[in-house]
Amino acid sequence: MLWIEPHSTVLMGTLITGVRAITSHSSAKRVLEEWTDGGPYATFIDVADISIEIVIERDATADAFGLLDGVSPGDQGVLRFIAAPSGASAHAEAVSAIVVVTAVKHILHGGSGPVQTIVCRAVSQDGVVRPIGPADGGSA
Amino acid sequence: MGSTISGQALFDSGPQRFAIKPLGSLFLPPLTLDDLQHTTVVIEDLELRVVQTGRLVGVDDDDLWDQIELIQTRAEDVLTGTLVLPSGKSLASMSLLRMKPAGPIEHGRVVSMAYEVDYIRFG
Repeated sequence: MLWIEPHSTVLMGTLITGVRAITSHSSAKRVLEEWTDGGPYATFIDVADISIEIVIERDATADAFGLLDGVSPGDQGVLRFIAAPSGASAHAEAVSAIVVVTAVKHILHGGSGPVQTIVCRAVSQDGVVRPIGPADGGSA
Repeated sequence: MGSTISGQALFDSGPQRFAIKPLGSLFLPPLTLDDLQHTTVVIEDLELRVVQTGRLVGVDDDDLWDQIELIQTRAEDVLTGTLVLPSGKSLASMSLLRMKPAGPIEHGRVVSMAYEVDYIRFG
């Protein structure tokens, strides 16, 4: 999922500005794959463990650095933002997730200024419910 | 096509594979019993042993547990009869002795559990 230029982005209680995009990536951490004696190809495949990574990319202005000085890998909290699923969509939605920060990076891009990238993983409260989705109240 | 033991299809909910364990005679190599044993000692014919591996698949936990408990009952009863492999090969007088889980109960698109089953034709 890709949200371009989300606004009202709050991470661990702090409003963060200059967010260019937030992306989420789902990947299988463990694939169950089984074969039979009938032939060489798998006849059963299922995904037992899923990891959802959320990446926040924002302008790393001096002000922005100050706002998130305290965020470091291992921190857990709520991410909440309002955005359209893509730049072409007019339908805005409020999205939230409980996240654990796994990396905070700063990259210098020629011309567009420094970028701060905050990499997180989403935590499900019960292991069943997808850990990122509409915030309470749904659409913004 | 799945497998059956004594006419019962206990494992058809998921994929299954079969392996034959060593065949022939049980023997003791030289120097197994003591330093004076200088020749191989043949004990007797090996029992035919077949190991089945696979995965039970259910639509939910109850469905999977129903399968597990049925297999448990059949193994405790030492269900004996013809084992028919998915290939159609029949092995007479085989006994279902044990199912050993090969991992946790997994909750993905379906509920499933890998297993290993022992069949033996008693000598």
